[in-house]
Amino acid sequence: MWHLYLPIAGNSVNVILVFGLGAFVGLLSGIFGVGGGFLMTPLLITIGIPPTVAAASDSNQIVGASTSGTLAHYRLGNVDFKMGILLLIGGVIGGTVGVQIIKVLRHMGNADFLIQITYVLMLGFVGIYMFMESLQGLKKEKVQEPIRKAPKKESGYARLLKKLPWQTYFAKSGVELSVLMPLVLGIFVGILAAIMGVGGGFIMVPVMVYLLRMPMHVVVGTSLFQILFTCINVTIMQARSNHTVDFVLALILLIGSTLGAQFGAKISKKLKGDQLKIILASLVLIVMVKMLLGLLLEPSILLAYIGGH
Amino acid sequence: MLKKNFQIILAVFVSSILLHPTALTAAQSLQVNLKPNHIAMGATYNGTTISVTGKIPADAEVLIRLLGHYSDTKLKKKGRALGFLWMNMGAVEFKNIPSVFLLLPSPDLEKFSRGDHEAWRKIGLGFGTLEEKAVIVPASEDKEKLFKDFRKLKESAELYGVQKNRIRYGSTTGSMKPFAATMSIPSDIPEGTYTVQVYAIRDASIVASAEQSITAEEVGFPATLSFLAFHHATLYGVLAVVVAIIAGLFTGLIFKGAKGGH
Repeated sequence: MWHLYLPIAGNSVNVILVFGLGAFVGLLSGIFGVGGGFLMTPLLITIGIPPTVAAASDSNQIVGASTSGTLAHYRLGNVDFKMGILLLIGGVIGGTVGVQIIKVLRHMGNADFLIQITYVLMLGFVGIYMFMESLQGLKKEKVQEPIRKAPKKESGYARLLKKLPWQTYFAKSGVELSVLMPLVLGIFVGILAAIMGVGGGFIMVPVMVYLLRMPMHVVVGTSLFQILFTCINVTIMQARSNHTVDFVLALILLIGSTLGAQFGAKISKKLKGDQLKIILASLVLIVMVKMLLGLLLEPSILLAYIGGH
Repeated sequence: MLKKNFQIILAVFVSSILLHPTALTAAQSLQVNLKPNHIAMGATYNGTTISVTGKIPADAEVLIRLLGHYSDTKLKKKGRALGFLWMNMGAVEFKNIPSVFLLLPSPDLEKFSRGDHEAWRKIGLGFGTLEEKAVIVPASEDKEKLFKDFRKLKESAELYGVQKNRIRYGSTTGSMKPFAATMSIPSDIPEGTYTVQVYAIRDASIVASAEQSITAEEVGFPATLSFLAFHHATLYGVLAVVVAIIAGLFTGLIFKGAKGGH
């Protein structure tokens, strides 16, 4: 009862459980503008889905969740299409390069080492930075809420941004930047996302906030828009080269996650930027600690299957 | 290199002969029925049970085995990197090892197996024998630990294991007694042909045996999906994306409709 057989994963799952996982991660996706791959893939592995199938099917479900999320954020006026498209072009180039890097590393036998280390370092770095920054933001807000912040002295980074060629104004985000910035950062995130087998939302969000200086609410909508296309690309590539996309699994997850994403977008609107950032940072840090413990504690079984089905 | 390959082939050959039941004894054959004799893995498949019935000599005990295809299985092996990080460090290969190895001993045989390991080993049908014959490449001094972990990994998916209290005997008629067993087939079982072996055992010796094949096959929607995924991979990927987008848009529209209603 309530079980469905997954032909690509090669086992059967409880539909309610998978639907619940989808709804939970979709909710987070809608709130924070992340695809949720960094949470969903480990959760799927825990319920017995082979790792490669978990990552590829998750990309497939993120396509659905981010379509729903983008639509919801678009209605709220939170999507910067110009910035999103530039990040996307970079992301697709980076993703293609990343997939090739993984292929070479798999042949050399170093892929797992690199994936795990990249995960822990990226999660740790992004989580700690966002946590500290948003904590400061929240404290300041409490102390001097009515006083407008005095304009800071221009940093070296800001001066560098102004010197770059092809400056253009991004109206929705209210920032003036070189088109090179979103392109290059898109490539960087794309490479990391492909190596880690995730959509890259949890890296893209801080990149948009801190390096592209976009307002948090526009970041969420634009990130979802960009993730949608990145995951379309990853799903088709994974289906073609590795046969690891389990469509049945993805479909159950995405019914849950699209519903979750709609509620998430509404909750997101009610929370302040710094509140959003600190909750996301805490989540990222929890996942990082879990992965770190996995690396530090002796596993009960020293053997594991290679790849998926 | 050539010598090493030859040694591996020889080891695999010898172990397959030793593991094969017909090599154990020239036992008489038994009549056995399987119901069903085909495992259909449809959309709602979540493992199944197979009923095994037949008759054995009245003074013997029955042991049933379900064996999967023998092949070389390569696995990742975790080890310490930089002295403190547990990571996948290379691979080990189990040569000519069955994909599935399930044992259903009769209650008396189960008791006996716990008390008299030597006699159980002499029968040569259990995990001890499987471990003894296992060839692990590269050869390592921690074979016992590796085999234990391999067994645990397989047991977590219920592909290896001992299914207890599954055999019931009927009343003896003449020199034979009927038995009926319920064998659980796990949901993780891969497609393929499996062998059901039934042994009548008396005083740690096989007195009669029978063997039947059973196939596990995806049917209906899972079969269609697997066919698409493996034979029309690009189309499958595009379809998966299109359905996901439609589902996303559809939910988005429902929510817009609901919002408009308020």
